[in-house]
Amino acid sequence: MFRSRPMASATRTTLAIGALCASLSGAAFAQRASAPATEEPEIQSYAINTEVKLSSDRKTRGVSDTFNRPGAELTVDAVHESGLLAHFQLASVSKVTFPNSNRLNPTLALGWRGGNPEGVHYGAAVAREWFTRARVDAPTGFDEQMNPLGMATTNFNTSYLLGELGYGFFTARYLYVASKDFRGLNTSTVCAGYLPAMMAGGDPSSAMNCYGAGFKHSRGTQLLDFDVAYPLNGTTKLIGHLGWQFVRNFSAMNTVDYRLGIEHTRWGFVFGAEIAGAKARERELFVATDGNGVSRRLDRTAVILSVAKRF
Amino acid sequence: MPRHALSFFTLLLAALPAYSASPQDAQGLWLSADKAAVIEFKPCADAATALCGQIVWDKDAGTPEDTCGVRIAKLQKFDGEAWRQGWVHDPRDKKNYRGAIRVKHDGKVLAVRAYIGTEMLGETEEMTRTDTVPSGCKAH
Repeated sequence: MFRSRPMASATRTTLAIGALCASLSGAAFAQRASAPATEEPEIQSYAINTEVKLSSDRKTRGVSDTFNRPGAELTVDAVHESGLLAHFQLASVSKVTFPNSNRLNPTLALGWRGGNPEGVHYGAAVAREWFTRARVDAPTGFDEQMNPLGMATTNFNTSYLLGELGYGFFTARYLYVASKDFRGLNTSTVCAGYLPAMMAGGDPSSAMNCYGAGFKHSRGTQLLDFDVAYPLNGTTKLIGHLGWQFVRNFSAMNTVDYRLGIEHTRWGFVFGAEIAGAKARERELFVATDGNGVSRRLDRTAVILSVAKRF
Repeated sequence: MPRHALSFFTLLLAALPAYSASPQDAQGLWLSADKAAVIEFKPCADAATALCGQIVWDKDAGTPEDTCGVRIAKLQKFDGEAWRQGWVHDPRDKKNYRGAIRVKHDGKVLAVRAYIGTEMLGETEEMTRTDTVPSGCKAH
């Protein structure tokens, strides 16, 4: 019958905490021997579910967290009959995109969901993601001789307030960034993205305008997502996503991101194939360069293959 | 809200299926999503107004994994949209959950939802209608 216990599973949307939605996974019929259920059986009041997932790339809001390389996730979801739920995810990230990190990105979310999965449903949550040990030291500005005016140390940890409203297979989700910065975006980190082009002899005005606005953070960033998970049959789902990112004080970091793919359950695994990417307002800010000088566009549209196992 | 977002959502809403089911539509033989079992849904022997589901074929019949005869659901009431007020049994983890059963797609699909507390915290298995019961299970 149901391969895994019913619960709010992490369906890995672009942001892990956005995955606080109930899974509609087609489940393989269990073949284990079982005594017949009693007439008035005890009903479960809570459930805990675990999933391990490997993917050819890990993107958040269409932007790779793994420098366009494979990634992994461990997700644990717990739900209670009151509607309360907890979500924990430990994901891999790249040191290139999150300098000095230990490559781990834990996320914890607590929330509540209600409504009818066939009709109107809704939910709310608070969440925080950490990028353990990740930090970057970058100038806060430059004088006319291009000498740094000061240095700022930035981490990437981010807190969110989340609300969602859906109808049937469709879910709209709104997130508000409550922490000082959204994934480390502030003047010292965003404006540094213009420096490579300037150093290569490009127009310095973008960098100067960015730094010239004074030191700013990105608290108040707003994220808007629309997701669909449409069951094509008992074992296959169509997955679609369209998202907008409005970064407070740094509109150059605004993006529109998208996903389109399928998930198929077979042999106890969930196989996924999707096309995902982002359209960034200023694409040069979404290029990362590793220690060997290899540069990659993190917002590129990519085919992502994945396999997940639920326990 | 961005204009494109509204258009996208409107298009998706238009794709929603519409089907009005009767209480009897859920009765009959249904093949599990992985095609490894057939479940017969019919009025319960011990409560004629309730709906019960029982495994009548299991591909592992006759082995230690045999689930033939296991009752996997009992729902007390049809509310016009779904059978509710009852339980769904998962023979794999041997646990029972609150349940809701709906007939969809012009009667071709039976959506069996098991959940914790609220239907939103649940999982749905979609079964397809079948006419035959392969041999294997002894009569129950």
